[in-house]
Amino acid sequence: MQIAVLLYDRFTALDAVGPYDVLGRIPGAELTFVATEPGPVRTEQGTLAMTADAPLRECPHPDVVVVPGGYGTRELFDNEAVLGWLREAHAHSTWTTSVCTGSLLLAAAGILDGVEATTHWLARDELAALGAVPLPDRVVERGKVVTAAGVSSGIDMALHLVARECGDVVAQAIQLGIEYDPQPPFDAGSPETAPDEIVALVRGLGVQNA
Amino acid sequence: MTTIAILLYDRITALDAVGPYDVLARMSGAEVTLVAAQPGPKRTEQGSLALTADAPLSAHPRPDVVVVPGGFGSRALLADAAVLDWLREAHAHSRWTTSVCTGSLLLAAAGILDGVDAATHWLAHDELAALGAVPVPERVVQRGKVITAAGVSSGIDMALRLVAAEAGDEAARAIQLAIEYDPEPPFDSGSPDKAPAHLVQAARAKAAARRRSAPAHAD
Repeated sequence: MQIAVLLYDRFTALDAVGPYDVLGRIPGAELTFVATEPGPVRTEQGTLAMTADAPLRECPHPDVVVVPGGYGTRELFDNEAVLGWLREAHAHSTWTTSVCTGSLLLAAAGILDGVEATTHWLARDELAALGAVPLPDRVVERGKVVTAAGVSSGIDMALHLVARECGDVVAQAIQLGIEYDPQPPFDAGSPETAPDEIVALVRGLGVQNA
Repeated sequence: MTTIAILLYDRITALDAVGPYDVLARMSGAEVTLVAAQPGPKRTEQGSLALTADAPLSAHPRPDVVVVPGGFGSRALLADAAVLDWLREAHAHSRWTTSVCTGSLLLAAAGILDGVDAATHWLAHDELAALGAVPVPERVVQRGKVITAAGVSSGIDMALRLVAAEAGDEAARAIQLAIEYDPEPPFDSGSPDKAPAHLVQAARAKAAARRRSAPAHAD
């Protein structure tokens, strides 16, 4: 099974690495980080570079496409190299997936026209403006498109994907392997559960975090 | 300003490093640097991802916060003087010395955990004990300024606790909301106490076989 994870400047590291460290453990998975041009690609904060090992053209038909989010997504809405690759890959994929504002790119490529999808809670309006139907769920599967909410939700999405592709036992074994038994110290992980003043604080910081 | 150094090395576990990175880098005033004995790209266990170390250890002798991720490659460093000396010197001056997963084996090898309660990946408790620490089956263990986390994904929980300790609960809650950390794992299989017994046994057998065939290549 060939899996391609898209990188671009100003992506969110955990959006890419959460799914990577789950999907990369599937027996027989062949996982490649791809970008328009190979080489180091920096995160939003600029303090971490991950290497894209292959250009998009070398990976036209992966079985699974993973599109992480990040502030840099907005600079790709008119990027035909990326959007054309997404359309072609999606036409042949088994699964087309996104994390966080990665769904904005799927929408910009026309893959989510009228389709229910999720994204970072701060980006629901942007997703709707691009033609998708935003849902406030953590993971949304519609046909072969699986979208995840903000940043950390990519771990849940990837486990869901492993279960669908390889069965529950493989997904459970990987969950045990990465010891994913979450114990956040606070209950502030969604706008529904976080205190109002925290929601207002993060909203005030804007989509730089999405 | 809080200077934060995250150690990289070959055969690292990506999420061990990136979970804490994406939490700590959002802390106001945080200055995060990925460091390694030699700067440059470091490949993960699977080999399919390279994270870049931007600075040598010598450029960051005294960060405020030290983060040591785990990975198969940690065993290759248990006698690496450059890394262990850096850890000792950094720990002597740090506000917080932290690890994720088998990163605690390196803290122990540096002598930082002698007789100290600490967490690690559930498959590495014996290794941690053999290095002089006292393994505790908890997700995050804080003893003084040393905070150790259990396997891989637990680095996110550890980092949120660290932000709370360093910058206050409000800052930690805001980061939790920004990364939308409202976990909904599709199964309840994330610890050896909860996972189906046959999966726990299979993982233990696989780890034991790896240790027999290549001692430096177990979890």
